[in-house]
Amino acid sequence: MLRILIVEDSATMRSLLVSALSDQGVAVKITEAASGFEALRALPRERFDLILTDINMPDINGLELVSFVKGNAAYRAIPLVIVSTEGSERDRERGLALGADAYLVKPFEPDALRDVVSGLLGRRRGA
Amino acid sequence: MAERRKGARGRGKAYREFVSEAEEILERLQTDLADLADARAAQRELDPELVNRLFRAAHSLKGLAGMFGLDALGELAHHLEDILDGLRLGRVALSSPAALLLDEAVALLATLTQGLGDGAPDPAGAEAVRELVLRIERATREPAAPPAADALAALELDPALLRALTEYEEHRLRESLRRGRRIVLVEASFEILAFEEGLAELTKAVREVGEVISTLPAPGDTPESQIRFSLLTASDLDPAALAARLEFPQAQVRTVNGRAPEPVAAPPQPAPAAAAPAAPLAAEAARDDAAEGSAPQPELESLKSISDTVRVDIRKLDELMNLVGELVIQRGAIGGIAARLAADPATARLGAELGKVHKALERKLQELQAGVLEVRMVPLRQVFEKLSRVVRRLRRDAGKEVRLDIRGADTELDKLIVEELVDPLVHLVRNAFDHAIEPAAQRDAAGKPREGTIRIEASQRGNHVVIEVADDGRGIDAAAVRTRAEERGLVAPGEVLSGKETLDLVFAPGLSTRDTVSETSGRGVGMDVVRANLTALGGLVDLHSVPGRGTTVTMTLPITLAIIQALIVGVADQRFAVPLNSVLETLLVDPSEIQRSESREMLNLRGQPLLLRRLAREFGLPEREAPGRLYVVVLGFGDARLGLVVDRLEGQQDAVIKPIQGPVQNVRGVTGATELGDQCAVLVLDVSSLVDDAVRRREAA
Repeated sequence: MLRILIVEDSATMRSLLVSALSDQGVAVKITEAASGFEALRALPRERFDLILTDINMPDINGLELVSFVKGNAAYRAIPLVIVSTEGSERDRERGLALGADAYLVKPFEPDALRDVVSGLLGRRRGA
Repeated sequence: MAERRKGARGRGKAYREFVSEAEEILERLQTDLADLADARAAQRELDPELVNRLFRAAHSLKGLAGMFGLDALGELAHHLEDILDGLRLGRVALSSPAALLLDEAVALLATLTQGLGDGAPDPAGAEAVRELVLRIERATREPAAPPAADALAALELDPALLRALTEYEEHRLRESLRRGRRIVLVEASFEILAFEEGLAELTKAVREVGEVISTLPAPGDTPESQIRFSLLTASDLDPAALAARLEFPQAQVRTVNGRAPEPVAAPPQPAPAAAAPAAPLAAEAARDDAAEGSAPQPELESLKSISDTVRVDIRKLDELMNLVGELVIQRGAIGGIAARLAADPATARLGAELGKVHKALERKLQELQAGVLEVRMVPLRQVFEKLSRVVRRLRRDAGKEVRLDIRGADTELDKLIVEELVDPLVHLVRNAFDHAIEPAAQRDAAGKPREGTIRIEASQRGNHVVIEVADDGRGIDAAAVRTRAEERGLVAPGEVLSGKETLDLVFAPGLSTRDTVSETSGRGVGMDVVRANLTALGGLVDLHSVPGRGTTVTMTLPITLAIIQALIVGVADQRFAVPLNSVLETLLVDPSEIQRSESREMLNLRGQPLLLRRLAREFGLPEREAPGRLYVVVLGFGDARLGLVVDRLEGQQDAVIKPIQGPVQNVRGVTGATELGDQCAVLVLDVSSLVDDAVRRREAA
């Protein structure tokens, strides 16, 4: 089973991500965090296989979350995708420099999301 | 795009969620925009946080519109975002044309959002968007300001930290430097699973002395259960003064700009005379607590003494409570010795003296116990505020006129109980909103005020807190409840029930008087779950309803889980405490009424067989020889019943439950020990396992 953490302050956007990811033919367990803080609390509770995060959020921003995850030995190996609106080149570069594994621009097509996810997870499994 | 739009419509639920979220965002936009207008009218400096909030709202709306292929809405939100981005990054001034454009854009967004529910995009709306977008583009066409020579490079900051800043945070940092503010990192560690409260306190404290530009999490270096936060902060105070005024003793303040830069522009207000002179001297201050003998020493002292609150892990309080319980039992032993000494003429004097010491010890222990209990208490306010958010949201989604009347929010309860109360309360409030309060027209016709009221009131009564959730809605239709219960086989068709018994059926599992569960109160959680949740907390729930007038649900909860109300029963020379919330009734029966079949004893209780267990046998105590009437304590746990046969009933008492150490620890049927006023420790029965065993044996038989 795949354990996925979705960090996104918009409930609608979370639903869309959940429905896109639930539709892959593999069992997934999705944990939703409505803020960076919720994500920080969720991380130690479960071993996630994948993290999707937004950038613009009210408490800590997505880049800070990336920096936390990728700077932490316990979580560093979890593939992380930034899913953010209208990829400003700056955030994209910074996110990747901080260690994010992929960057997806909203509005996204469910298929594109699934491709990115299966690419990352396949890569990890293959490794 | 066309295809995606079709897809969006197809995703009915997501679309509905989107409409409600879009409305919510607009509501926030409108409120914040009004605040912005006020600030402008009063010629106050713009609050950067307010502008950033507006920006994020427009940004979210743009993102959502994009997902649903709503081009006009997305385009307008995008341009609104552009103006606000310019404002928050200081590229655009809030001139009257810009303010006007903001107003127009938000008003048009509101119109477009209102049309979302109907589905068909309004062509006139698209035209209006095109026209407004053109004007916004003309107004914001100024070239972006070239990035200033990078002042940030001079900061002593971890590059990863700098990289994690958003463009806006970076702008705030530059702007602060430009104004000659000091940049510091305020750092503190918290328990990772419960950091938010502490962090909120820290943030609040830091905001008293400066602007929090960014909150950066970092893994805690020592114990893994910790998380460390660095608050990147800009302040007019020098670091030492900031550290001294910061009301958060465990925080560390680290200077980031090695030397106070020359302000490029004059600071908006001269620094208050009280603040330390703006000279480089402060730079290293507070950086190192071990800076012997130098200037920071006094500041650090004042930093330590400034706050008089500490945060304590509730588990530590549990440990303290247990220790108190143990001491209480030891005290009981001392009391026994004192009594024995006093009874012997040879040592009577010594006994009397020890008795006095024992009395004093008892009083102090009571104070200690009360003190520890008090520390665990938190007011219900936070939960109540959550409920009022729930009602606001329901009101908007359902368009129903309902007012929430909250009273007694300062009433305090054990923190652990308060946490468990959230779900049942939300459920009750949703139920009231959804099912009880009639539509305005119906209320009008019934001569009631159009606006319905849900009242939540908490009050303390002795060792209990009573929370009432009352509505002035239609009341519960007892006949409908009865019919439904019969359909579900919960009640036999001919069975006579009192009005109260009928209403109580509402708590039966699987009973709902509505065929369809609505979106709002949905989730399949019924009153049975509410009752189960409260029972698990040692609480009671009761329901009172008058047709046409409304329903009141009354919850009675112990103030703390560490103290229970117990029925004290006696067998042979032993006494036991039975948690009162599991006692349904007590009976006095003649031994001849007990029927035996194989090894089991049963009692006919109003036509129903009640399985009996003799407490004496459970604990290997001598059974009473002399025939005589027996006491039966009828225990209920969930749907299961059990009659416990005891020799005596000795009354009710509050009891502090203390876990048992040693050989008795794992005895089934015992949950802990308590101490009664007369210095004897007694075992507290674990009703759930006793009933469970009995039921299992019956099934096996």
